[in-house]
Amino acid sequence: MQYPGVRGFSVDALKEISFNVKPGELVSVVGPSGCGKTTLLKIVGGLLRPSKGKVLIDGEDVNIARKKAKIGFVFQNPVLLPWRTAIKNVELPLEVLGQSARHQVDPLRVLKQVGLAGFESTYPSQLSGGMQSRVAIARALVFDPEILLMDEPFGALDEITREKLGEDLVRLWMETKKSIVFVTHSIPEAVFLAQRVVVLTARPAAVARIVSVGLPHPRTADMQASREYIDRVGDVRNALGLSWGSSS
Amino acid sequence: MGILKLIGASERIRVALSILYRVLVAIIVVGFLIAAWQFLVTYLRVPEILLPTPYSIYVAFLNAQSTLYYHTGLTTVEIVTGFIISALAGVSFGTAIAYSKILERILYPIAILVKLTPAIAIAPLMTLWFGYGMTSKIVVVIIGSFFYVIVNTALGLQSVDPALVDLMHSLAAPEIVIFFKVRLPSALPYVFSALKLTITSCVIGATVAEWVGSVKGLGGLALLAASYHNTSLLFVAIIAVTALGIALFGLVALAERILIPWRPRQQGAES
Repeated sequence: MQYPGVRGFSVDALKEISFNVKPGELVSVVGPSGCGKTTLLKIVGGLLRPSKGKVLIDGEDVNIARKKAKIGFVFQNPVLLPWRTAIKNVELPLEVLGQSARHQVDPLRVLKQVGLAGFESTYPSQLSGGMQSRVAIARALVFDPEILLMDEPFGALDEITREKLGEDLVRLWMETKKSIVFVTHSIPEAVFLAQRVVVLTARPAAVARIVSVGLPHPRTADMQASREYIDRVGDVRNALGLSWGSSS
Repeated sequence: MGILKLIGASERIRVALSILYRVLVAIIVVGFLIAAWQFLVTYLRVPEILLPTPYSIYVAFLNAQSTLYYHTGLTTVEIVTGFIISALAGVSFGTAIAYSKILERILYPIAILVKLTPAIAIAPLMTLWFGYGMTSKIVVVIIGSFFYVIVNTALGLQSVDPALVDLMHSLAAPEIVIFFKVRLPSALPYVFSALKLTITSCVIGATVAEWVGSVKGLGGLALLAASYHNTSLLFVAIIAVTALGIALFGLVALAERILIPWRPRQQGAES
């Protein structure tokens, strides 16, 4: 497999942005709010066309990759269809892709994988926010994409649920070996989850720095007290122009 | 789970009791009003031609029963046919408007113009064009009704969560698939709000059209009763139209509950 990569483009919202994601790598993207993170992710996923530059996935243009169902999206809100049960929501991509789905994972298995065994026939309105996010992740995994693009998927959740989902996401990532691009505005979340953190500057966004996090996966809560974790959080904060003393 | 079921059961009993209570209150209030009406009209010697007693209305109803069913059936057919055509045309035009700016600019003003023309003014013309049969009535019903569905269908289709559309695009879904899997179901609550308005305006449209161009149907019966100064029969016709309207509205509301079970109820499913 070739390296999926994003090579520099320049739009109103975004300036020079160029980074690679290795197969099976978990990369987070962090930046000040309104810097164009969502725009960047939409461009990476082929939902928006950049005015300049290219997105390559497996060496192919992103639009070809999108049509081959290589890209799974998880949005800021779970955006489930309220008239479909959890399992029916997970099955939606399979219905849309039909024959063109390269691989299909058993929807029941994915639902179990994200920790929702027994909730197949529950409607979204009866699920908690965290559970809805889990359904959204299952829906993105059910057609076995190469790369998972996640746009602040836990942004609307409370701290406790968020941390739990983060841990579960890492576990899922280790099981499925997907490449993941995880956009967030939470520095601790970015560092805690990812192998590398792409730090963006304020609008128009450019890559300020790419920080490698040398902690092994799976990560545990007590790693948040480790030297490496604290230093890397410091690096990200520095790259964002925040010092330890100031608050943003 | 046992506790949950228990709560569910007691909740159902509570709901049933509150419905029973409301029905009882309604029966008592209506019963009291009818009794007061009967009493006042009798003792104040109000002339029958101005205000008949509930009892004489009941007698008029018994006498007119066989023709009443015929007239009610006729009006019902007009309303239901007009309603179905209004709904189908409304959803089609609404969809066209939601997808095309040009069609929106052409169709919207026409729809508003047609809607603004009073049924009572257009009914004689329709009778001239389509004769004294049912066709002219159905046309009047449609003219007064299809507007709501157009507006709400367009609105519903356009207020789909953009993230849902993004999701479908990320799967390279063609627009037709997005329409049937996402847009149309999302628009259904809007469409049904419009359909509830539509059914009421269909009842009015049919009655007005019959009043103008017919001696048949409940509107025609009302006109006939008025011209014979048979006020009791006039009341029978009025009550029949109202009852018919309530029944049809109830059917639409029932269809809404069946077709949109996910629509959040008053008491939130959240918690």
